Amino acid sequence: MKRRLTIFLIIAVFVVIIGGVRYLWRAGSGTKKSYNFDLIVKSTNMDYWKTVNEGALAAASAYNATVKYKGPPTEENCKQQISILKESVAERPDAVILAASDYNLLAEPVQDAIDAGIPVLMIDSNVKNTNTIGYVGTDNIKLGNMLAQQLCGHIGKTSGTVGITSFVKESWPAVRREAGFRSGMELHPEFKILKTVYGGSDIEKTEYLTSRMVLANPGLSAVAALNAQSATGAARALNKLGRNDIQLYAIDCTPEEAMYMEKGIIKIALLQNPYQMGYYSVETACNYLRGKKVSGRNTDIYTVNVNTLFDDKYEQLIFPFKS
Amino acid sequence: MFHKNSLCVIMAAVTVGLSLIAVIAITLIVYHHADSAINFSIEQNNAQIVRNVSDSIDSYIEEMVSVSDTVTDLLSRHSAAEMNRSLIVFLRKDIETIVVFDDNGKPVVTADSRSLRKDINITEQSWYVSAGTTDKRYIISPPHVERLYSGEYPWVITLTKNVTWTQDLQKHQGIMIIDMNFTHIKDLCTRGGSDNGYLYIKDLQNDIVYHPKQQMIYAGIMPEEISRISDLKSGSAVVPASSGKLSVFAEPLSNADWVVTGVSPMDGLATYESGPGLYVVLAILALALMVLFGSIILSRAIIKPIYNLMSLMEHIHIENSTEAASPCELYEADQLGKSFNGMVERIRQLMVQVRTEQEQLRRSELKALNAQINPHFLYNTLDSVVWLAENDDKDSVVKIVMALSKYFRLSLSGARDFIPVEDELQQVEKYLLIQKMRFKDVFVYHIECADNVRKAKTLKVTLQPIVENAIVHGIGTMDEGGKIWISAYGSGECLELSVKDNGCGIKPDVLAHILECNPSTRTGIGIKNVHQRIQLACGPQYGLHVESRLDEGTTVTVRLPLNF
Repeated sequence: MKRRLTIFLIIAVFVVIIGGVRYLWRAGSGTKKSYNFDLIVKSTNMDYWKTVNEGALAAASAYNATVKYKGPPTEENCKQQISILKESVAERPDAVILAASDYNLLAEPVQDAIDAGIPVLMIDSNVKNTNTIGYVGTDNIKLGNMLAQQLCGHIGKTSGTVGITSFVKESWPAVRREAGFRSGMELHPEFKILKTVYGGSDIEKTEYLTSRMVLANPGLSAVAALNAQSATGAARALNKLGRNDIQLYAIDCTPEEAMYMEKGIIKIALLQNPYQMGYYSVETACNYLRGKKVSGRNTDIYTVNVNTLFDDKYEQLIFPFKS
Repeated sequence: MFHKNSLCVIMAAVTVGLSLIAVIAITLIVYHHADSAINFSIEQNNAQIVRNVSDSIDSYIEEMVSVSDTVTDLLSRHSAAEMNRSLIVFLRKDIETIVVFDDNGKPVVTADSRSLRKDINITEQSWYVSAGTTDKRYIISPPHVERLYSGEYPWVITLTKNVTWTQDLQKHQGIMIIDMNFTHIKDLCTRGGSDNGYLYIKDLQNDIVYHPKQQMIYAGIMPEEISRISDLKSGSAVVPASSGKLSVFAEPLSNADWVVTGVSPMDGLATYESGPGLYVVLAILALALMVLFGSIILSRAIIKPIYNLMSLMEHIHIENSTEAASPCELYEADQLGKSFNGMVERIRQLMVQVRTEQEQLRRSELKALNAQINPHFLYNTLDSVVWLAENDDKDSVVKIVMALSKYFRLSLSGARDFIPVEDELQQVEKYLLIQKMRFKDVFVYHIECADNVRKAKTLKVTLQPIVENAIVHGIGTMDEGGKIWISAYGSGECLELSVKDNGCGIKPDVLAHILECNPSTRTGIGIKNVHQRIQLACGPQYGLHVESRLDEGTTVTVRLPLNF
């Protein structure tokens, strides 16, 4: 009996030691632990999101993390993004980095992910949910505001009509950029602002809507385009109509937009820094998981015109490496 | 068994301690060696990757240079118009375009039918400017976006070369560019980097040509190592960083003023994510436990016979001759047991010997006592006889001589130590009779004996020294009225002989030590002798018991076994 008790005690001590060592090992290696993140973007095929991914990967190598690049192939596919988010949650990454396709529709799936114990960090486009880690990306109100300033500063006219081409009407960045733009334009009441047209991030649709806007408003002197597709569509429309007199002020600059800028159609473009966005998002998520207090972070905004288009600093943001 | 300085604990502690120290030392040495071996291979690997990548880039540039040489050669033999739009054969996936401009920046020879943009002033392009100022054979530009063709913005590095050709019998001078797709080189750098490391390219002025984290550098987030390794132009170095050491290897290109630099973290064994550490720790723990159990088993095997021996030594009765250490499998313990047994045996022999010697001593003391009593007693008695004879007390003379003769006859009982109680009493009676006559009837005596103890054995000369004491020290000092009672009776398993007097008694301080065997006190030697003889012959529970009260009297009780 006594012998049996002794053996039991020895086994118990052994188990406790192994458990303790394992626990300590895990705790001790916590600083070196590698995190797995799922980066869910709006559209995996777009250069913008590819650049976000590159930034995220650069941060991942610095922070010893791995990043999985996910998302629907096209931006409007909100339902598909929700199901991708759900799949991601089932795979239990350490955190999900999400650019929400829709401010409202993604709120519940994001809450579901948080309830399942997976923290969610928002990038580029926020969601109607305050339980996320935070938001990393461009300050969209400031971006809209800056666009208004640039427009008023470079238009060279004291009055005129200004059109806005936006993308998805209800989308969070569209709402905020437009709000920022309109509040910036309020300082210059001499400019009349037309009703915003929404091209749904569809270049052809934006082109069509812009053409109609131009034809319907003969006195139109400038157009503010609130994202890359809106700007491209508007630029194509103005190019086809041969209306070099209408200045286009754009947010984001793709190689095609660069071409239109060189042609003089796009006057000013405001650049976001998707690379930085990706980098900061992984950095923020790592810091959050390591128990540091984190908050959102705004990424840089650059202003380019035709003369600075090929500056080293902006070249890579506008013309991504193709492989 | 588990005292803190018991063999078991000491052995366990020492063996576990030593083996742990040994194992940990070996583990650390092996770990250190493995760590440095892995770090060495990381360095080698890093250097190899950098060499491979720089070789590839070199050979790309080499090819471009040879293409440019070929084009130069063609230009010298053919007219520019002939060659225009016919260089397409030189275009490959990695060569974007070849163009020859004249000194006004007007394109003279283009590679294919794509038309160059008219809205760009060629002479303002950085590569055009730098080519005009150099005396080198060719210039390699940093990677940049080329915008010679409408709507096309490829990332290229541009080889620029001053060329001359003859057209319409006139010598023309101009610039040839070859645009090489930079994406290939960038892919090489990306693919070439090891798991955690990366490659970057800088020029001889330490300005970054290409860095995978260029975006972050522009955004002001400089990889910390950049500043530390900026001076390295070729060869390897180990650079400290916040997360450990970094292996850096730089290789200058032979065909361009660039340095390819590889950076790879030297994490040693930690490179392998989970690491063997956990298993090492578990193995050490398992080993420590095994050693602990082994040493406990071993020390138990040693300690058990020793412990048995120890408890035997604690509880052994030397008198009990059956107790001995049992044989043991362990040689040393067995030897120890045998020695102990031998020692115990020897002690037993010595004890027997001591007892025999003591008995002999007592017997010779008794003889000496007898030899002392007899002449003295005989002298006194004969003195009394003479005195009685002088007074013509014939009856008394007869009586005393008869008693004397009887006394001596009884003491001649041969060599026997034990005699019947009645004989002892008779002898004492004769002695008392003689003494009474000598002391002129100052005392009376009374002897009684229970019938059942008459034949019981008693030691020879037991009562006589006690009675002598009673007469000499008890009632000898009294003028008259002394009484002595002697009785023999059975009490349970004991025979008790009692001598009682009504004399002056014994002082308490003397009484306390009266039976102690102390050679310094010569008084009462006869009583002590009796006591010791009885204890020696019969055992410690027997012997004399003295009770006394001053001026009231003394009772000496002799206890003896009833059945010898």
